[in-house]
Amino acid sequence: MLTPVLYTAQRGKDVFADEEYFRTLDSTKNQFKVFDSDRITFSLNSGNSYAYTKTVTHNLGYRPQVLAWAYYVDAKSDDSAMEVVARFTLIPYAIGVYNVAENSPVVASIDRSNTQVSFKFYEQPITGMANNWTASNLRLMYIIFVDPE
Amino acid sequence: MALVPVVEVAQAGKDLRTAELYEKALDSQLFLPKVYQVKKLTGATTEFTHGRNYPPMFYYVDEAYDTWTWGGGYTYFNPPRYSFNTWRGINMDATKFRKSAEDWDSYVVLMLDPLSFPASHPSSTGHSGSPRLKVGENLEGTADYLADIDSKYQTLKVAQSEQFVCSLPQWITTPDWMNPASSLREDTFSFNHNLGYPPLYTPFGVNLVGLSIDMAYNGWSNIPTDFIVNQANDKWAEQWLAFASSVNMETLWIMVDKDKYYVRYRRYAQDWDNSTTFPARTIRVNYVLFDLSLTREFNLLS
Repeated sequence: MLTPVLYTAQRGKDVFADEEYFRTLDSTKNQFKVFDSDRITFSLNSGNSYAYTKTVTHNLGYRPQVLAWAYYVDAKSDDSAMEVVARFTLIPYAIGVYNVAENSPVVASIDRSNTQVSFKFYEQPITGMANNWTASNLRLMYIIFVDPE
Repeated sequence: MALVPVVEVAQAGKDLRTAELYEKALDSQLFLPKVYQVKKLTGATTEFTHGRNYPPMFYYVDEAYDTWTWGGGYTYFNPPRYSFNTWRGINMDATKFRKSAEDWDSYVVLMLDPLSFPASHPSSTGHSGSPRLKVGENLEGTADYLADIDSKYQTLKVAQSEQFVCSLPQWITTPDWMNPASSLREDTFSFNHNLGYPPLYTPFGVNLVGLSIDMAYNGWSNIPTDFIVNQANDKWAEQWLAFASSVNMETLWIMVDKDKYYVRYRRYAQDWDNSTTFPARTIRVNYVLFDLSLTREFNLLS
């Protein structure tokens, strides 16, 4: 039985004569497909007990592949306090700056199950660093793939 | 409402009419990330102006070092191996990608898709010299990243996907201060992928600094004898600082080179007075290798 295929290649490349890795689409292979994605702005403050969780219910029946990026928090240049850095880094991350007095570290994690994906951001209280700080307008961007882990 | 064309193709051996979502090779109703560039950054490089007016999605790998010694510096693998890396010094905004200066080279994979949208979408780009397939709604003149499918850009095509099972043998040792090697054992597991280049791989996010397995499981004694690395990798951040520190440590790295996929596992005994038994473990890695070289530079927007 003949099976139709769809090939496309990078500009200037031939789908048959050039190496397969130059193909931009190749229907004979699985391409990672996005099931859900979103861009979210949130804060860590006393109103949410310095914790924010975005939970996506997918009900796919397996743990899907996930990529996520978020703003992070770092010490101010004079080490007086923590501040939001408006740049994206990949999560998970765990950031603590020991020379910033009494400011607890921040954690960003991805928690996956067969039905849900949760993106968790929170300040991690530890002994001697109990003061919580406010982080406003943090951003998260995530993609949850259809494709199983 | 305008009609929107749809492209759907089932994976080999599957019937499109009954296929589950994950059994489709292509489905234009599901968004495909669009890789437009792989860029090499030399060790000394600390920033790279990407030319978009928004922060693009990205992934990042470093050349992995084998060992580091006082006075001897870093030694590297031959052929070179690569490992994902991230920390807050590796980041992206609407102008630049930034990293710290290191002794080794790095590669950043850039996707057209915005981490946050610009105030106004850019215009669509031209494309000459090859056919182009675009699928989506209101495509004319709109930003390329709004198309469901645009064959100008590289997709994340799966070259290989499987569970790699590593059987770690039991190790019994009594660390001796006079023989530091007695406290450390490394085992490396690998398989040939035959791609001829170091591919983009999963699990996403197993860091160059190593995945602390004892941290992920909240203490060395809690590490299961049979575990899945992907799940352990989800746990470490939440255990960071909260976990009960371990006397003994176990750390895992994942790397690729042009020939192989590697799982490197280090066990470190720190009870210097007694014999320690590290149990045999079954280490499972659910991996994907993509048909995308981490080290072959290209720029589909140049």
